[in-house]
Amino acid sequence: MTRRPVQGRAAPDRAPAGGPLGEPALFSGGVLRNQRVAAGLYELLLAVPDAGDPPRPGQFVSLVLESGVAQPEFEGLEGPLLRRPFSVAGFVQARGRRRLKLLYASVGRITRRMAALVPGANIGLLGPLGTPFPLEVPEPILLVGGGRGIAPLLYLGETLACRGRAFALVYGARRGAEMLPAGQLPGGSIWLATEDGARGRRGTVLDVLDGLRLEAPTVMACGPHGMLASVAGWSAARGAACWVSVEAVFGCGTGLCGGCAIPAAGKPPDFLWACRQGPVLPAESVDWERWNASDL
Amino acid sequence: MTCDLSTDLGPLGLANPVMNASGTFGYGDEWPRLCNTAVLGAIVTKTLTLEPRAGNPPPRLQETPSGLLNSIGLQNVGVTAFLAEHLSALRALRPPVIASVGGASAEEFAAVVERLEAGALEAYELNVSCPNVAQGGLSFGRSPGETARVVRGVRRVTQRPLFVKLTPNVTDIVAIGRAALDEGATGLTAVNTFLGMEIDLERSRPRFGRVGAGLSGPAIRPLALYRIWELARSLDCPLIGAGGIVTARDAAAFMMAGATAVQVGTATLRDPARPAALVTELATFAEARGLARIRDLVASLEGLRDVP
Ligand SMILES: Cc1cc2nc3c(=O)[nH]c(=O)nc-3n(C[C@H](O)[C@H](O)[C@H](O)COP(=O)(O)OP(=O)(O)OC[C@H]3O[C@@H](n4cnc5c(N)ncnc54)[C@H](O)[C@@H]3O)c2cc1C
Ligand SMILES: Cc1cc2nc3c(=O)[nH]c(=O)nc-3n(C[C@H](O)[C@H](O)[C@H](O)COP(=O)(O)O)c2cc1C
Ligand code: FES
Repeated sequence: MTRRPVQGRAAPDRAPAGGPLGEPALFSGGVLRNQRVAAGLYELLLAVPDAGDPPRPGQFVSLVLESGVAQPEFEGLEGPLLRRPFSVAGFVQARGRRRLKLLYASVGRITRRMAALVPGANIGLLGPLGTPFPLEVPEPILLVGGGRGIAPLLYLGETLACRGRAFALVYGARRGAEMLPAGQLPGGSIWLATEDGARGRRGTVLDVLDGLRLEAPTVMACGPHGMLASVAGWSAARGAACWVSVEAVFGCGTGLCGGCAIPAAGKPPDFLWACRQGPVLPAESVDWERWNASDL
Repeated sequence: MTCDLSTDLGPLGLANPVMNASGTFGYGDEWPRLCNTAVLGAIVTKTLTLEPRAGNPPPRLQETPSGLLNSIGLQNVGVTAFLAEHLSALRALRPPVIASVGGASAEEFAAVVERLEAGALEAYELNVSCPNVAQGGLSFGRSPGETARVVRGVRRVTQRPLFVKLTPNVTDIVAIGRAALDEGATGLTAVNTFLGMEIDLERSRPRFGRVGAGLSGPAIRPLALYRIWELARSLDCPLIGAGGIVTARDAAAFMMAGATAVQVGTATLRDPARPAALVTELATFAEARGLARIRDLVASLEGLRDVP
């Protein structure tokens, strides 16, 4: 796979604003490009309206395949009822045009249908939602991505690069074939790990981290929660501040239903709502033991 | 011709018949712009208990064909935090506020309502029908005697309109509804979720920790509609319909079967602006049929009260 100049990788006009998070909006996205970038992994580039708050790295959008904003008639038999959440993997705003990039793994009913989207199709979006990664943190920042968890780190890395911040990336996957090509990864310092040994070190991101000779006061990670638990432990042992972007099965993605509960640290049996209090959370706010012991 | 959308739930006047269902719209003050909450006929809060509740351990959701199983377990901030943190924001929106009330005992129901009496809100909806808690929930709503006891206790502490939310998981929903009305309930909401379950085949065990969970969404619409029809045939009181309502046609069907107002639940998870959009769509629906007043639709189904 060759590296092309992609709109989604250009420097944004305006870096995502700080300050309080705005209210999300319903809008439609026009498919500009939808292509396979690795085994089971696809990149979707969407034209979105130039309105509302731009997403910040770590935030997500929630989608339905039916186009348009209003969905007056839900046709039960045609598709799943609930929206599906996806991290913003890239966002640019230039000359009054906005482009939103998603990176998704084809794992189920909606994501399989997403893989068949063709340019010109329209899908329904809701966002930006959830908490962003903090940007004013001590450097260098170590980004750790596992599998499709690389998605938010692409946008985060791009944003950090634009701001001239020092960061490095550790990226792991089960198989080399499921990994993004090196040219699509942000930053200059990149370590890879695959369980099949096809790319980078044989093993997991944890194996890379354990051998890493880099003092990073800040760690930002996204991946399966087992990996996040390990990265949280690794960071804590080194006194690094760790931020994780968590996944849960979402009902609404907007904090309306309480379906996305994950165990909160400190005061069992309390829960955090992954969609509203997260998805980006300080690692110490999560009760990893309770989460690992649960069914999710 | 424009259609007059106003309607009355006993003493409670509504600008239109559309409200959100409890538990799928947060406390009601989330995202006022995204949801356009101000145009709703009424706002129903998440079910409130005396103390905060953590709810059930995950997993809490499972999508089903055209439906959703949930096992949230009444996670809520408790009545004190609701009054302090949510009510004033809700009040700033126009619609009347209906507080949904839950409890593990009849005494807790009354205690929650007693606390809420100090708040500027219009009515209560007693949730005696949650399938996802060990105590309170279904065990009350399945027994006419227990339902009566809860309503009696609450009636002692409030004069405000009182709606009792019924579970469909009973043999005779009319008997439960009648027990509630006999103790001074103003009207009835029907329905809460249907009990269902799912099995995780990979692990050979139930998907949910409590095994049973509540089914909602378009999948239950015909079942819920039938419950409203059953209630309307036998009882003379304001009815609030819920269960799979997404479109104006859905809402109109519930109204024809006897509902004075309708609630939109699961559809709001897919589209948070759905309840507000339904207000406009209902007007369009009514106007296309030359209806001057939406209330003329209520119980308009021919032969509704005839004995079959
Ligand atoms: C905040 C957030 C951000 C996300 N960002 C991305 C992203 O950038 N790229 C990406 O590829 N995926 C992302 N996901 C995961 C993505 O939402 C799910 O893969 C997707 O919803 C699956 O939908 P489906 O209809 O294809 O699968 P389904 O047919 O619904 O399910 C297929 C399988 O996936 C499991 N599954 C479903 N939803 C989830 C979930 N949320 N988490 C874990 N397992 C699930 C199901 O249990 C089932 O085994 C994100 C999830 C969250 C919560
Ligand atoms: C996630 C979820 C949470 C719910 N929480 C409550 C609740 O706290 N109190 C209550 O009375 N009903 C609760 N319900 C039931 C709904 O209010 C409604 O009665 C039911 O879902 C049927 O309507 P629907 O098909 O439109 O969702 C909940 C439903 C869902 C899906
Ligand atoms: S998914 Fe509904 S509150 Fe998080």
